[in-house]
Amino acid sequence: MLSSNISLIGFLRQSIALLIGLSSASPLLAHHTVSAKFDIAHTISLSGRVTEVDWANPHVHIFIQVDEDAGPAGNWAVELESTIELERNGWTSEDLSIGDLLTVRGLPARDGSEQLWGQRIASSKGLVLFTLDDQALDTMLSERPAGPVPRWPDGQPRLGPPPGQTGYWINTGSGSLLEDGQSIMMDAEGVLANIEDADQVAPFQDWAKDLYVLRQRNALRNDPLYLFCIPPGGSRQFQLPYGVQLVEQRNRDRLFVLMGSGNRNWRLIYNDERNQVSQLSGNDDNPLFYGRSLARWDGDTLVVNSSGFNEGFWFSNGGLPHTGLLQLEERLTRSDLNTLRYSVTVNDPGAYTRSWTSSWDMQWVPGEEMPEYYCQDNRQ
Amino acid sequence: MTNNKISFTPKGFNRALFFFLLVISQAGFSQDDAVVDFRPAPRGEDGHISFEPPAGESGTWVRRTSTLVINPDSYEAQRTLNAPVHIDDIPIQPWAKALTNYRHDVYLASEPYTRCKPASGPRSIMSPYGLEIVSVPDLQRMYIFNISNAMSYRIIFMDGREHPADLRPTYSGHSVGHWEGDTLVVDTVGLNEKSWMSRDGLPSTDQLHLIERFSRESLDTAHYEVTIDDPGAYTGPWTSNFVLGWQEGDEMFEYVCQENNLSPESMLGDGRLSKITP
Repeated sequence: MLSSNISLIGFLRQSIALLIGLSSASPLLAHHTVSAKFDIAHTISLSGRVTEVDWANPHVHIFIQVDEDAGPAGNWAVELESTIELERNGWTSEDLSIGDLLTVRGLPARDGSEQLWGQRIASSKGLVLFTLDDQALDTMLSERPAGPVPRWPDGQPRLGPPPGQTGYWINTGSGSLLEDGQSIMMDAEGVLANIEDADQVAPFQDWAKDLYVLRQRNALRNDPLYLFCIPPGGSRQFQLPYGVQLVEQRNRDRLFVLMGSGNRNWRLIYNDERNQVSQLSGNDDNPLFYGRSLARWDGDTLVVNSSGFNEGFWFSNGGLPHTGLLQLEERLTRSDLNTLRYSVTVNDPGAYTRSWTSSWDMQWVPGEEMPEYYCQDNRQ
Repeated sequence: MTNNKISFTPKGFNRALFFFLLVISQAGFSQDDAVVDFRPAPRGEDGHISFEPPAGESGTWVRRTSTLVINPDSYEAQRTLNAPVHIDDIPIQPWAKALTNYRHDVYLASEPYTRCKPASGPRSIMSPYGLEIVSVPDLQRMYIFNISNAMSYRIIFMDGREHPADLRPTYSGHSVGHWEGDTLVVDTVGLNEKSWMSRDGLPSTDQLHLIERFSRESLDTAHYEVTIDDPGAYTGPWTSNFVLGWQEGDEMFEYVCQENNLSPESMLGDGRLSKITP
């Protein structure tokens, strides 16, 4: 573990770099699709004095009063990333005072309201207070110490840290689920570059494709994860910012998936050969956000079968539909210290014409706990 | 005669049944008294008390009482009577007492817990449905997993580390633990002011320092004691406690507070509505 505050600070700097890098290099880290609310094709600059600082997750807001001669006059809400990115970038809520004069560059709201997605914030003297760094993630990932798969005494791979250490997994790759073998352009939140590619994302049934296309055309603005803090069930917890931490409790034949996004929920995966039936009542009358998950080891791969899902959440970034018939087979394979292959086979005869598989690599963030993030933070 | 016979037989039968049941029930009681079903608290491989089930079993902890203080000014005063301390006997600052009273005047309607926010300390332990206190010796830490309380968790570091110097307040705070005999002692700082530390409506500030002591007297019963040291809201530290009961055979289940959150506008709250659209 970290032996002194100095090394902790040094590590936090690395992590800051990591998170800032993620938030720009891959829009994946945004809590909601920026393009759903903001016009990503235009940039505007405003100057004004701070009237209010709303320092909370999922998004910080700074309100500035813009005068006639400094841009479109009014009290503008400047929306920024979560407190986690900002605080790791060295910001705290105390760094801004009411009355401070700021210059802000960012994306205007699509609906014409006085809202701006802040990309760069500078003081009146030109000092840059906040901006995004594209290179930091790559630097952090390339500087991680390499190593073999950590293993338990009996040889089974560890899905968490080596003994006495800590760390967690983040997704630096794909946006939404995408059938293996397909290669199409989408952003990290799963918005297609070309809506004509929808057929190639997955073997949709007609209604499911129509719904998927509708959600895409709406820039995912009805995403319940964003609107209502609905949990990231299904595969989505492995796609979102802030990652997942896997805690194996081998003496009780179970594994916790701790979620860095959503509401910091836990999900239990049982490895004890039980039946997939709820304890309280039957499965049919109690469908769940996280389903019921049973696991077994197949060589060095943990195979997790889940079913019993409800239809109240999006099981992937990008708005891919599912039904209560959804069954998932997730396969977790750690290939070295820093890499976890996540592969999920989707079997949902209610929404897809056949089963299909999507896979990506998760990256190890060594030596650190997941940041504390609650979507519900700023929901009253 | 026939009538008498008919009426007699059921009476006699009832009398016999009553006697039979009396014997059975007394036998039952005396058997319970004689052979108390006492099962000791299990221990982990390291020899310490375990708050988990014996091997091959399951169970969760559920509060037996739900307030820290007796409070006659509570809107549900009757419900506070089982608490071990009277609110007049804790060193609460006047503003904090006034705020507590106000919260009860409005039936605790503004409690963050009911807005699906997590809490740490006693509020997380006295939340309903159940919780698990899990040891992961391999990682030198323990976790407290809640069913309610946002279906979230706390980490308790058991590796001897100290609290970081530059801690920023969070919902969970920063918890370090150690053993004093068979008692798990958890020290927590770094808590924000966005959640309530108890169901009592008692305020706390970001100066709150909690010392929680967990002990397990038997398989069935655990004892939770908390010392509240918050110079922002109290003039000195004070202590309360409550009992946790073991729900044998239970497992944690999914509870998603947000399930019926269907209005993004109202979730954003007053004052922000006019300025921010989701």
